[in-house]
Amino acid sequence: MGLETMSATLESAVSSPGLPWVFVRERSTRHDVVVSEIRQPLIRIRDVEMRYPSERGEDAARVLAGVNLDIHEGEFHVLLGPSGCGKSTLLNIIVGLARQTAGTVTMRGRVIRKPDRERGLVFQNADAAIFPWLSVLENVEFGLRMASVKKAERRAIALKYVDLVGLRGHEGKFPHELSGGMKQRTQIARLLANDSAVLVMDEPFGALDAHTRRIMQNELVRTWRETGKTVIFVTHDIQEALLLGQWIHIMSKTPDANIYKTYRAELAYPRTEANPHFIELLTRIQGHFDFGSGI
Amino acid sequence: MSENTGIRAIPVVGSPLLARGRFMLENALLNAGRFVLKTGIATWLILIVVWGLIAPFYPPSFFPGPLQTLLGGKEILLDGTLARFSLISVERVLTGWFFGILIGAPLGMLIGRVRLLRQLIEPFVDFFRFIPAIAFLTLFIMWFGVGEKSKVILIMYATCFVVIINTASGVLGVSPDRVQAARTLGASEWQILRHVLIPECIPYVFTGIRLGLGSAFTAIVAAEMLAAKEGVGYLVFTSRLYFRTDWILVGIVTLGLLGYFSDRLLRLFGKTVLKRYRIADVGEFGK
Repeated sequence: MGLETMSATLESAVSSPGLPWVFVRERSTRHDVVVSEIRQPLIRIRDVEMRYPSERGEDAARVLAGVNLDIHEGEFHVLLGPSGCGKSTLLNIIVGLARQTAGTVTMRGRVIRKPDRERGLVFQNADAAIFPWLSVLENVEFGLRMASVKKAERRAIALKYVDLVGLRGHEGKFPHELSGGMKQRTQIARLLANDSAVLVMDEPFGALDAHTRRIMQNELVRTWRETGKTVIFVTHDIQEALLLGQWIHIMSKTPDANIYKTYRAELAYPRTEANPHFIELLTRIQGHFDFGSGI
Repeated sequence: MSENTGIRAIPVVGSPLLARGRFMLENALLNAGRFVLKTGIATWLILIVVWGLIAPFYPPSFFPGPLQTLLGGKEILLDGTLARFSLISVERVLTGWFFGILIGAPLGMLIGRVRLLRQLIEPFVDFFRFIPAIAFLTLFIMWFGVGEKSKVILIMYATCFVVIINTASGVLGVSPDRVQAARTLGASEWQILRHVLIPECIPYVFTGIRLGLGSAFTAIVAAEMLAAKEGVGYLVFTSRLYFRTDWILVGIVTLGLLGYFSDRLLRLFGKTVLKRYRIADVGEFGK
């Protein structure tokens, strides 16, 4: 898809309020992202390729190939794809825990080389990620403590975010006393308290029961809107992607996983499956998985 | 009971107050029984009774009864020997144990964290941990003299290995997610060591410390038997020369008590001061 047609699509989307979602692009080639280069993105991913060294070294399979993505401040991006499509690899590259074999990833124009507090990660398995010897409040304070913020100050900040994620009254509890949802709230709060600009979330609600997952999805949307943070959210659940994301990037399968299609969903929050536009988009995306080639 | 309530009275045999009293008594007895079993009092009572029944068949210099042992114990308790010897043994154990932990814990962390070091040291550790500390006693006496030094070093050696092995396995078991989480929260490598790795290892180090205390007691008694003029091990070993079999038994009981109470104290420390690290408070049978 050329630049002109894409701008045209965007134009029509803006001008027709009847269609709150818009198909943005086929395959993430460099030309597609030209439009967003007008504004400097917060995170820019260009031609990222990831090869894991195989036993013999030479013919290593490419997990990712030619991934291009621009993420602007305050946006909610969802990476949607089946298991083993390289979503987590891409997340690790964005966070700085893994290094791509080719291409560039920059944040505010600077190349990402290692993890820092700007990009916080929310893990699916909270038990392995939060500190069991620290109380909820101490967990939330952790980043500030690492940054040598004074005790009274960091306590005040931590309490604010404990409040924001709805953990008031539980701040003195230890992780083994918390439910799965509360543990994920703790993970989110500790990134917010640490003032991470980007919340990178790796299937954070995957291990929760359906009821708690729904509550957490709504809470995440609320928290995101209240704080204005940038969110990159990985999931394999189409419904979850549609409930949350402004930008939905469908990833193709490995090898050579790529961003296969991108949708911009402008449905109003809080979203509901009862919305006809929601169903329309859901059906369409489901169709990609059912009939699309390469995903 | 009036007829029109429609509720039939349930006949009670005897007075209800009496029934209640009996119930309370039964309950109290049951609770007492549970207490006696749980605290180990029952075990000790049975042991003493059996001992008292068997001992009269033998001469006291061969197998003294509980009463004789108690009297013998009173003798060395009153002249201060028992207390002095216990204190000396405990002091040796604590010193060696303390330095053993001081060396073992950091070394275990290093072995767990640095692959090269682990590969270098592991065969060495696996070899030496099968050699009981006592095997080194004569060597240590030759090298460090018959004084306190050789005994303390022996205990250090005995403690060190369990602490190293437990700490290293603790470091190896650290959740990589937790380390990465700390990294994305802005922790430096040094802060990760201080605020993630060390706290995460504390339960393992603690297990090592507890096991190490056991080895330390084993080692000190052996050392005192062969090369000491004081200490509980010395008491057990030399009493045979005076045909004071009762003192031997007193020495053995004292060792058991010292070990038992120091372990209890250690467990209490784990449960209170180290509460947040959720150290499993287990006895030998895991309960």
